[in-house]
Amino acid sequence: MFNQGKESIVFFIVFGCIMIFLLLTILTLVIYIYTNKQQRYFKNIEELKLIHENDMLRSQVEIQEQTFQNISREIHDNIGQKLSLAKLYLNTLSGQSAEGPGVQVTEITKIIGEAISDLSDLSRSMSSEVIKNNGFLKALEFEINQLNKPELFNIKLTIIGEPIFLTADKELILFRIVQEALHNIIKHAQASSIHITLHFTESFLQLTLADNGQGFATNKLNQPNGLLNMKKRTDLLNGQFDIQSALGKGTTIQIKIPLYES
Amino acid sequence: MKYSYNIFFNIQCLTIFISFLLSLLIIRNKNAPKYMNSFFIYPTIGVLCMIPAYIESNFLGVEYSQYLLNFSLLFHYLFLGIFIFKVLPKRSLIFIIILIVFFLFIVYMLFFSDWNFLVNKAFAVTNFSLTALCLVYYFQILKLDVPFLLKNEPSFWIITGIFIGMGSASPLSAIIDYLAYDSSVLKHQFFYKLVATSYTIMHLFFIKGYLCSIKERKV
Repeated sequence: MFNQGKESIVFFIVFGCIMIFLLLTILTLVIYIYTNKQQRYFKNIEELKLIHENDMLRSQVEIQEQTFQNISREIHDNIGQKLSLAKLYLNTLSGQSAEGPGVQVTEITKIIGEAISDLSDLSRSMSSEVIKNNGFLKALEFEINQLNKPELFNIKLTIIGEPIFLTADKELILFRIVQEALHNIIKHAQASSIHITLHFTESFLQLTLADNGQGFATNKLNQPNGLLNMKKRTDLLNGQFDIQSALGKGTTIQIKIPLYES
Repeated sequence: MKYSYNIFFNIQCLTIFISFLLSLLIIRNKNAPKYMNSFFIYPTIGVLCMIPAYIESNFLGVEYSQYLLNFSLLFHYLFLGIFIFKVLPKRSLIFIIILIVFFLFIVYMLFFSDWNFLVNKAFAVTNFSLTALCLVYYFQILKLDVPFLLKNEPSFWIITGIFIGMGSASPLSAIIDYLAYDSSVLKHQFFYKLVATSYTIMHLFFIKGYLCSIKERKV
């Protein structure tokens, strides 16, 4: 009984240890394979993050470049022209005009006043502080008012749903998208009417810009810079960008942006 | 022999009791995984079965009540089997069928067969099937597209507890009859020490699983 019991105990312990060792080996193998897979997964995520960050950086540089181009164009086409005209008047002031210097001074004052006003508008339009201080909606209303001033276009803004405030950075990017779209329409579409709709839902914001301009064939589109910028900016907001257009039927841009981080 | 068995049994009781106390912390834990919300039932039943067994073993000097052991074994199998099913990344019908087939087989072994002293064999079958189901879990997590952090995953620790605790006891409980063929007392002692050790190992892993859930709440 004793010997048989002793042998059994030894066998029991040895067999038990072998079993535990075997199971631990299986477990270690599972953990090893799993950890390797996990490391590969995280490495992929890191790579994707890096690619995304690079894309974002490139987009930001391109956006900045585009902004500088806009400023340059605005100064050259508008303010520069007005100041040149004012200079011309000043030059002719020395050669006694029939109307007398009083009229010319009034004209010069008027032109310089307009140039200062344009410069101020340009500055406000370009400055992110305005958007950060007043919010996206106020800045958008201001932009629409500015563009409606010359009465060349009829720009309408419709807000559906309860407006939700986004973070300052998001609002700035969104504002730049609308600005880019409006400038593109004005420059290329030959439209007389632009309708902007902001649809706020619980989870996303849908922005629609529709014009009655000449439109273009989207399938022949060779990625113009303006559209690329808008797409890249929408990507920065994790949004979806969609454009629908046909020759003679105007253009509709739809941007869907999630209001909260998923 | 009896004294050494009591040490094993008392350690098992202590581990189950700690496991029971920690499992109570998860009941109202909103951040803990959903599958952990009802897990407290397992150690609670464990404690409820343990109290009469503890009194019997330490004060009345008799062994574990046979019927109590049979029912607790059935509950143990069914609860843990369903738990593994719940945490499987990909649930399959075959898994349920295997679970039911083994359940019916264990019920037959415990209550309807006229074989002599089948608890250790039923224990072996139970644990063998639970170990196999754990392997299904491991196999499935290896195929996951988005891997989760194993060390923070309560289900992984619980399954590992079942795998190590029950997996190591399964073949031993099956061969007890051959190890101690001429002594039913020795057979008894071996078996109950084995049960105590396997449950202790399993509950130690469960405790780690509970701690992961509690830690998750703090984060």
